[in-house]
Parts: sequence; C-alpha cells; structure tokens
Amino acid sequence: MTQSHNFYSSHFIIPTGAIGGKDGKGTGFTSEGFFPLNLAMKHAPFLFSCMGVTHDIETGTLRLMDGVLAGESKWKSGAMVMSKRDFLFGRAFWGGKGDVEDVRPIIPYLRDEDLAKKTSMAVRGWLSKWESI
Amino acid sequence: MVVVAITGGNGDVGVEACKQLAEKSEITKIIITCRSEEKATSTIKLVSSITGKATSFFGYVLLDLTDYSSIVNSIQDFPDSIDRLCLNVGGLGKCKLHACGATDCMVFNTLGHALLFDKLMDANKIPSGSRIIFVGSEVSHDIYSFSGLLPHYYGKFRERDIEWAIGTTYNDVLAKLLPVRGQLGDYKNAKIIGQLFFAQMAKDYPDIHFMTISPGK
Repeated sequence: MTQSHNFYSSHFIIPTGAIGGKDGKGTGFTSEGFFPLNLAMKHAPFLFSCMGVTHDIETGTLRLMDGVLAGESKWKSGAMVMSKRDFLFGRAFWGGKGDVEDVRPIIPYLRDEDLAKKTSMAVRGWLSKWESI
Repeated sequence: MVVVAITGGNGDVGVEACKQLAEKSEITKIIITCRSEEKATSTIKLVSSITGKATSFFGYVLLDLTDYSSIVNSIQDFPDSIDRLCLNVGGLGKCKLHACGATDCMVFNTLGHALLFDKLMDANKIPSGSRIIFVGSEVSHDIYSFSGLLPHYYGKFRERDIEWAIGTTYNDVLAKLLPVRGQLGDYKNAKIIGQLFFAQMAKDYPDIHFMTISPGK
C-alpha cells in the first residue's frame, strides 16, 4: 500500500512486507509501522541491513520475475517461496534475504493440507459475512 | 501473448515489477490496480517514460481491496483473459477491525485478494494455465532477527487459531508495551491465512498454477 512513484537506487525491501523507501528512509510499510519500526527505518535503515532483513527493491522484485510472472514456472503449484534458512548453519530463519526455497514443506502449519482446507472454508465464510453487511 | 494484472501497481514493488515486466518480450499487456485514477495515470506515465513502452501497453483498473462493492464492480474492467495475476497489495494495518469484523490488515492483505480471485473465476477471466501469485512474507514463519517485534508461533498454528487470526487483533502482554508487535502479529496472521488459502486453491484448481512468493534479494 505504498505510494511512492519515484525510482531511487537505494530502495529497500524488508521481506516482512513490501517496505519501500526513498534513500532507505522508508515509505509505505515502514511509515505505517508503529514505533520503533517507523523511526528505525527512517533514521537507521542500516540496522535492518545489518540484521539481514533488508534488500534493495530491484533485486527484490526479481523474485517475482523469471520462473514466476515470466518464463517457465520454476516452482510447483502451491509452493511458498521465500528466503532460505540461514542461521545456525542453515538450520533456522534469521532474516529474509539471500537465496530462496519452497519453505512450505519445512513449516508444519504451512504444509498442513487439512489446515489449508479449513482455512479456505473459513475465508469463504468471512467473505459471505462481508457481503452481507 | 501474456497479460499480467498486478494489484497495488502504484506501490514501490508494483512499480518496480511493472518496470521489470515491461522488459520481458513475452509480456504484451500490464494492468495495474489502483484506488484512484490520478495515481493510476501518473504511475503509467512514469513507467512508460522509464521503459520506453507506449502508455497503451499499460492499463489500469480502479479497485479498493477494503471495499466489497469496489472489488465486485471492478471485475468487468479487467481484461477477458488474465494470464498472470499478481496479488501484491499488502502492508501493515492499524490494529483495528474492519466493518466486516476481520482485522483491517487481514482485509487488504488476504480477504480482498481472495474475493478478487473468486469473482474473476466466476467471470471466467482466469483461463486454464494461468498463474496466480500471492505476495507472501517471511513473517508467516518465525524470523529470529525480529524476535520481540514479531510474535513467534514455533511451528504451531492450529485449526482453532484460524477464526482468531482473522477476527482478532494480535494483543499479548508484550504487544501492549510495544504496539508494533501487535501490528506485525496481525500482518503475520494475514499472510499465514492468505498463503494457506491460495495453497488450497492450488489443490482445488489443478489447471491453474498458484504460488506464494516473498520479495527479497
């Protein structure tokens, strides 16, 4: 839900969402964030980079290109593609940058097919509720 | 001949995606969705000037994903056949409840997209072989560098949590002291529900390709 229409060489994404930022100062996601996320991104964006959670927007958006929106699909239907595990010698998720993998088989509730089915039923129930108001 | 529709096409990721997609020879049309005509036309002008593509290469649909009737009414404005639908709109809410009773964050990240998908399917605008891309997030699982700010579920999210996640703003003791934790908790729940919903769609519609992708390096 960001509004920036300009390109800057130092846009950042924090993969906790579509965080854009002019000169790393943060717009959209970060400006909507409560304290301390908003101030930290505005005044000390390097902290997020040091933590391993920021990406520049150009390379970030590449994840949506080849094998996803363009070219032959690289991933099977239903895949959940995001940053690979990196912490503790690749055993845990520290941040959100670097290479990607399908994390669905790794996270118990994301790979739970019964939970997915019940979630879709619940979502449809909420859509009906929304329609009725 | 590939027609791409991307929600939130005027946002940072949306604009960058338009720019990169315009360079792909297989892409013949890019439709962005936007809440206002002014933002849509200015975005198209900008992307057109950057990419050198004619403004007619781009199109827009006015759409507010927090408004049920806006979503329903927008369907007629989409092209008859969408080959790639990128459900990109997302972000943090304000820890409030929408009029439908769901969290504000859940509505524009997930429920709005689920409704848009359902209505496009009803209108036969998503043909066999299309791809639906839900822009997900790493917050749907634990991220240890964000401990404290981001609630962790340690691999546990059960059936009983579904209704809670949709209809309740995240509010534990720590979130009372650090409201951004509640905000990120709502966002985490919205992405979990969205990812699970579209994972189920992959099973329900085997002729359509569904993926959750989180932007990153």
